[in-house]
Amino acid sequence: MNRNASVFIVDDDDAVRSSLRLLLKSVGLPAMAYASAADFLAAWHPSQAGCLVLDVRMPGMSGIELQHELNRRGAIIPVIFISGHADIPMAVEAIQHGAFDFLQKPFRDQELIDRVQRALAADGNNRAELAKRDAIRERFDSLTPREREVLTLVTQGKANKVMAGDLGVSQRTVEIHRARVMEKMGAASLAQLVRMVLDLEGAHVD
Amino acid sequence: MNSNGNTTAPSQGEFQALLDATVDAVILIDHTGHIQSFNRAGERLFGYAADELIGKNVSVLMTATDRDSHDHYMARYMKTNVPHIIGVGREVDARRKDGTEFPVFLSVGQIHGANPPRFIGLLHDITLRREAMAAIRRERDRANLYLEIAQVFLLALSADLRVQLVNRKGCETLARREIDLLGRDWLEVAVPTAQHQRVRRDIERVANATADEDSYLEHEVLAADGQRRLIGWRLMPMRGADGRLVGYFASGEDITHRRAMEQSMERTRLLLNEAQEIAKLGNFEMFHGGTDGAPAQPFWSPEMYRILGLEPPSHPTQGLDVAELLARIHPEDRARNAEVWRQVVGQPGTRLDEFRVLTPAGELRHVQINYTSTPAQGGGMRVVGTLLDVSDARRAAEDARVAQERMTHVSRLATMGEMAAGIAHELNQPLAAIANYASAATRLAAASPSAADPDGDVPLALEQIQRQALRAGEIIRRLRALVQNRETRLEAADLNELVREVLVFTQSDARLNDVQLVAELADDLPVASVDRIQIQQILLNLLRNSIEALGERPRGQRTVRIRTRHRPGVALEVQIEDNGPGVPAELVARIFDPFCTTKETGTGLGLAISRTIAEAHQGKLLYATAPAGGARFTLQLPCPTGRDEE
Repeated sequence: MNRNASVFIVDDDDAVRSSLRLLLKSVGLPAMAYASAADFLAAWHPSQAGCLVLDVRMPGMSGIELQHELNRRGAIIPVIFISGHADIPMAVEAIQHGAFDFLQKPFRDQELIDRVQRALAADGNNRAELAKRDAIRERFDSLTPREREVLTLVTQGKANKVMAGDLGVSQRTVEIHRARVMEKMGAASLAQLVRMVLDLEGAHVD
Repeated sequence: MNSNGNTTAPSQGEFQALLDATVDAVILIDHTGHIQSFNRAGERLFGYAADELIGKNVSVLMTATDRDSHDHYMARYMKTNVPHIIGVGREVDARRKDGTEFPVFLSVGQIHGANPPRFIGLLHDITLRREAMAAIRRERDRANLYLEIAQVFLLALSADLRVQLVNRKGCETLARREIDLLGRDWLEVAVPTAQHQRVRRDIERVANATADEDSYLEHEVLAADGQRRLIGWRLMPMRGADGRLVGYFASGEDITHRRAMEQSMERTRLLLNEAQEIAKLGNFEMFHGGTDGAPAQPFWSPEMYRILGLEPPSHPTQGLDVAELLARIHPEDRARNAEVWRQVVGQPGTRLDEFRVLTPAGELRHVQINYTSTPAQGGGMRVVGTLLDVSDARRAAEDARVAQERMTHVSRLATMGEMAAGIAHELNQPLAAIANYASAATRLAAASPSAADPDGDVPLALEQIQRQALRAGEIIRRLRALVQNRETRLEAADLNELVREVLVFTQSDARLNDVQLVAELADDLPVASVDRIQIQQILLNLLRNSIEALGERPRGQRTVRIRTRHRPGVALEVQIEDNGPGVPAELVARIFDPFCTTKETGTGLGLAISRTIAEAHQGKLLYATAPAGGARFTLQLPCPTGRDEE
């Protein structure tokens, strides 16, 4: 778990806000609390790791509206909704829009803590995945155009001799390019290289 | 002339005796009018002695008017030999010695063979006759006067129906002069053509009638000015000594007005009966006690009979005694009713009673009776009142009571639902905080055990706090589930129709508060998918809020506008806007919070519930200040095609 990850709490009820922060603190989870969606948006940055514990019903921008706004901004922060109302349609809608979970107030401490921890783990994984993908992208970007051609052909499983024919170069030149590609990409094996390319393509598909 | 018995001519003495025996005055004059002889009767009549007059002109015996013309008259006769009085006689006035005048009948004769001619005059005192005549004339005039001033139409007709006599009233009625009527055919001159045949038949019937009561007939008369009057006639046939019909005498009365009144009264009576039948309300007048004079006849309106299941009598004013009424009452109610009747007749006043009636057909009816008693003129008590059949009202009231109970139950449930919804949210917040604090404290306590708590009771207590808070939350959830009698049930509905139905509910409230409701409904609304009752609950709540808020504005300036609008791809909207004071700025952020209210009697749940309902529909309930400054609430519902709103 990322040591910099924190739990963001947005609830207009002072007691709920403060008690949540204390509860999370008691299990060693750092938490930041905000009284309104606007306060949260003003203080928050998409790069910050963590998860969001969000009250559904608030004056001004509601929890649901904040979720929509975060989606619009492409944020990946997991959202756990908490509500004093047993609003089934609202919970369904929130989940449909990508909410991590939905809890009804009052809740058992462990229920929240489990969800928060799972959300933080998910966020950590997401961020690690993204970081890894970013690193591959960085290495990929450092390749020359000729090296990228070689990379593409290598991952298609073509032999050096075939590649030399395709590219109109000597087999020796192909071998040098291939060694450079493996080095620059930090791949120990062909299998690892193929995996990296798939990750990159996956990022594009997203 | 000798007095010998065998002579044919009377002697002078005999002649004088004859003159003196005559009761009339006898005067002999010559051709110049000078008196030559004057008899005893003349002396008595005129107060003159014969000697005083002999040789005098006869004109001394005449009135001033005749005196001057007499000489002239005689001179003319002498010349023309054309008599005017001689052999004819005439009534003239004569003058006595004392100047008094008196009427006489004058006969004049000429004594033939005398030359120059001589004349003899006989004067008969007609004072008495003239007085008798005057008396007769007066009698006749008086009779005529009676005829004229009689307020009835008097008419005499010949056997062939020609007018022989008509009085002034008759002339006035027909707007014609007497001379224009006399001798005319009665039917032609006075009866509308369409009635000729009938009138002729009626007159014939009367002519042949034997009994007196058959002498009545009526028909219209047509006046010269075109007016029609209805006349009721008593017609009397007149017969000659031989029994032959010679004509008719008729007295007529103008019954136009009376007939109109009768018809109007009959109509009023029928209308009253109908009204009573419709209202199922009968009325009555009854009498109790009173020994002076004949007891007054009770009156029951026909509806009285009908309510009691009796056949109404043909005669409209005929009533029955209270005993008949009592006989119709349900046996169980009779004793009480009899007691009420004793009070009614015991002391003046108004008393009400309700009882059941058992009709002869076996039907049970509930009736209300109102007795009002006043002392009657002849002693005893006059009781008037009404009898009202309330069977239908009873049934309706029973139905209404059941409906009311159902409504009360529903609204109690709804109120409990509102309360529960509000309470749930409001309590769940602190309960969540309590549970959180308790569990945080449990963990913190477990992390650093205290010497003051050697048995570890604090963590247990803290855990119990959390558990009980959760239990309270569970109770609230169950309560809500209990009172939330139904789930949101979506069905296709026309928003405009929902709005119109709500306006019908609200109309009386609006009128009462002098608020004008203006509907501006879009005609291009697609069908919405909503829970009709819940959406109407929102609209009703918003309309009532607006109407209440307008109390601060002067009457006549209170308006609530309700609009529907389709914003394709965005929302279906219902907007309710008033020109009241609007929501105070400091409250705007909290108006949808439960228990937030500006009304003294408000629960502060209406808007909270409304918003919950809107959200249950995937919609929104928004507030904004209207352009003119009042409140504007907008209910946004998803567009029916897809979930692509916003």
